Amino acid sequence: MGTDTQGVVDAAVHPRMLTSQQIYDYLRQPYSGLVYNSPNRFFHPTPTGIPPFGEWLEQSRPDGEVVTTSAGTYTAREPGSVPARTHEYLRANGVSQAVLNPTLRGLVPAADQGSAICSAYNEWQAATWLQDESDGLRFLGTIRVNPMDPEGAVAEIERWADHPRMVQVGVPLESHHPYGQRYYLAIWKAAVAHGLPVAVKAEGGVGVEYFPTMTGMPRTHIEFSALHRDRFFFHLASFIAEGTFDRFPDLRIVFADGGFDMLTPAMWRMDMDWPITRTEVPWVKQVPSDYLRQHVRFVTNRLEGPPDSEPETVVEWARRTDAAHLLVYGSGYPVWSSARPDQILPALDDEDRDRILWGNAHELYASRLAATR
Amino acid sequence: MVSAESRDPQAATVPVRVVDCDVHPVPATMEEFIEHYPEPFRSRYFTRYREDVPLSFLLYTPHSNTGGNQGMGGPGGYAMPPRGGAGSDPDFLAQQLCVDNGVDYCIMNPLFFRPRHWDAEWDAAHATATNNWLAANWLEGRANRHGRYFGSIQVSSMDAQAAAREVERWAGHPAFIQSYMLADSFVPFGAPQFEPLLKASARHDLPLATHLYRHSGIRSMTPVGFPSYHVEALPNWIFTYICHVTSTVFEGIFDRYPNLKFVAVEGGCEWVGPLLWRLDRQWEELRAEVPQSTRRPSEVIREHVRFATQPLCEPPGRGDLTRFMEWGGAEEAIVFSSDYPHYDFDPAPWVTQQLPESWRDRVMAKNALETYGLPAERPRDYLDDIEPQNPRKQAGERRYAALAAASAGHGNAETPWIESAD
Amino acid sequence: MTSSHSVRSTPTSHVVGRVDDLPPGSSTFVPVGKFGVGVYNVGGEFRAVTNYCPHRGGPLCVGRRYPVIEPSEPYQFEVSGEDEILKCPWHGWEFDLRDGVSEVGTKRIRMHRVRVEDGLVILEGV
Repeated sequence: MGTDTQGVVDAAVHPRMLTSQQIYDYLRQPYSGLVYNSPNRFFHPTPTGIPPFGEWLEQSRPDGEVVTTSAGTYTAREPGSVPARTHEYLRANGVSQAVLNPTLRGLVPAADQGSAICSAYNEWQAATWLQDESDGLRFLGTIRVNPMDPEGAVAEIERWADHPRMVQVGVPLESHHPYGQRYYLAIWKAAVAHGLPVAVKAEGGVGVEYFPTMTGMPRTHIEFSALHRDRFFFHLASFIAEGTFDRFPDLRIVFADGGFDMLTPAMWRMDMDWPITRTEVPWVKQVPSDYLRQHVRFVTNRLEGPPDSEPETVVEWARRTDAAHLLVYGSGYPVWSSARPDQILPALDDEDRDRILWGNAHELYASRLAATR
Repeated sequence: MVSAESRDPQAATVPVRVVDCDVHPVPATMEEFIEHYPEPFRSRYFTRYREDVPLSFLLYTPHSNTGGNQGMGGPGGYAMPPRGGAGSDPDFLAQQLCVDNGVDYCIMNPLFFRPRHWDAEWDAAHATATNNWLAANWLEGRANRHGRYFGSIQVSSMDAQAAAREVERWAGHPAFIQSYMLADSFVPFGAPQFEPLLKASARHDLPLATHLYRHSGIRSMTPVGFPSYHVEALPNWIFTYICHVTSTVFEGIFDRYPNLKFVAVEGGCEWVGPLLWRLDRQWEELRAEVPQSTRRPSEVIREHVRFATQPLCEPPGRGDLTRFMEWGGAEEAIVFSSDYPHYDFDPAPWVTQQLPESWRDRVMAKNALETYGLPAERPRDYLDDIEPQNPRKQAGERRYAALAAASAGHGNAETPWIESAD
Repeated sequence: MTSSHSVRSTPTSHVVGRVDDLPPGSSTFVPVGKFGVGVYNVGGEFRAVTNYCPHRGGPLCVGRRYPVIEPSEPYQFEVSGEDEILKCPWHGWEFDLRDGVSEVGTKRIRMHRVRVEDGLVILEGV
């Protein structure tokens, strides 16, 4: 596979609204009369006066740009909200298609309000970013749904499933139950019925979530940064143990924050106890790690994995962890740790890097992704 | 298998080849434990209607194996001594571990009776009772006449001042070689509130160990709610250890206490390599926030953190396990543990076989000897002169004799009266 | 253990016991061979198993017996039989006594011939 025949697919771009008020353009009464979290109210804020100088890439910060939408004209305030800047970043990376997965505002206590916010973000994507065909760069979207409202989530999936640019369903990494538990079955069923993978991604603010780690609240930002992504595993183990993958052979889950580096050791542990758990979960028909290739993908993250200064270790580690099949490249733009393609596992050979940079994404999103020119 | 022939029968001392960093003794009777319980709790709870007071809580999550009912415990179970529950008899344990499995030193981490998470004072008293009991029944006198048993000073994570006092109380005791907190906590162990405990441990050159309890209740909740089944709860635990290790590194506790070591017990070791890489990358970018963390995390961890092997995984690929252990610092940071007598215990001979010759003895003994400052040669004792019998054949005979006796209405108790944790 | 007049243990066969003393569901232990052998009555047929688990060498015959549980739909259980499954007391690996195959994976337990003659259960070849 040559490296020039296909453009890079960036599977994780997180556009933000021009201002936090822009959401009201896409909410109807009575939801447009309520108050919502702003989209960057994080606990554990990224330090701004010392490295890395804030949550966002410098390049993504607006500089007075005025952006016109079909609903109104705005002076952009939020990093990652200016399409021209996103274009600039992505084109420099050789990206031809980008999967947008907006981060919302945290888990909302009232399930119906949370669903209203999801609807608003879906309409906003469809009305703005997904219409943008400039520059040959194609944007694809995520149907954001609220797992706290399974009926509403199914309705939202039904509403958008045939939109030509929506390629996946999106749910937060944060939840009140592991996602394999029975409360969420209807959501996965609907996603599978429409051939849509499900992306699990940390929220863009803090609402009514539980502690982000097993040992409560990290005191420092670096601890939060190092630990919070591992929440993926509790969901993954739950999908397996509850038989969700056995129930839905076509279900595909994408963990969009990373955490791939911890996958393999954790799965070995799960494999070890699987033989004895038939009396508890006889519906788990395969060794847990055998579910991975068919059902799970991880977006890349440049803050994990062996150092690039040890290329032999990188190559061996990738082989032992099946990295070339399980990873899909995603920059994470506009966060400060956004990764360029050349920063991701440069030691791997062309064939493996092509898989990660566009091959696995094409396979994952199948007919919903066009072959690039 | 460590063979008897490799040890000169005439020698007065014997080289230490196997240090087992995780053994779980239990009281043989309730009385044996209660007599060590401090007041006012002893009178308040353990004299009248004491059966009404739950000391154990539901293991989270329970599985038919974990109670030992499938054959580790029960009548004639593999780990069942002639009287008492699995792990309750010092001589029987010595036979099984030291003779049958070739273990030289056993480090005892009591893990019965859940901590009192709602009351710091009771929790501290409970730790005191545990230490009193361990010293009297396992570390001193006839039970430890061979000198092979060492112990961990249990302290409560809810009150670091009380923990420091407990450490001071036992410091200098020849058999207590580390302090020890249960890992189920909503505050990670590098946090500032633990300073008095770190100070006391460091002052007395005692490593600080942690071991998960995983009982039911809010402290076993994950960030996304409560998992349903054992098969998912088990691998979830490694993340508790990952949090504690990360906290100790970024809070810079090893910079403040250069002689302090942190030992993660029953978290396993296959995740250490990826953690070293991850923390190094995070530190390279974000270290300005934590000036107290002055050195590269992978260096700090190799020097100051130890990871006990159990439960050792069985990855499918050839070389997977040993490569991940090498990436995780097997040469200095990984120490053997068995978790005897729990259901998923790792026998020393089996673990030895999984490891390459080049660093086998580092993991099986040397790393632990250095971490705990234990002698690399020990006096020859009567256990060395006991020929390992045929433990499996004996176990079979014992089992069937006990089953026959049980069906005839006498013999050892049907189920362990103390719920085994893992 | 009693034996009838005409059947004795030989170096490679052992009288285990009387059939009447080993009804379906029961088992006994014969301390022969390297590890000993467990002899099981599985629904009227006898099986003999080396007391050594192929997983990590546990004393397999110290384990308990369980009914068969088939792979099933989520939250459904398909239980059959009573005591066909032997579970190792160490890590709980399970083996079907009828054919020696582990319930998951590919490991097998070592089995021996057992015959019934003149009302006696006889273990052979150990």
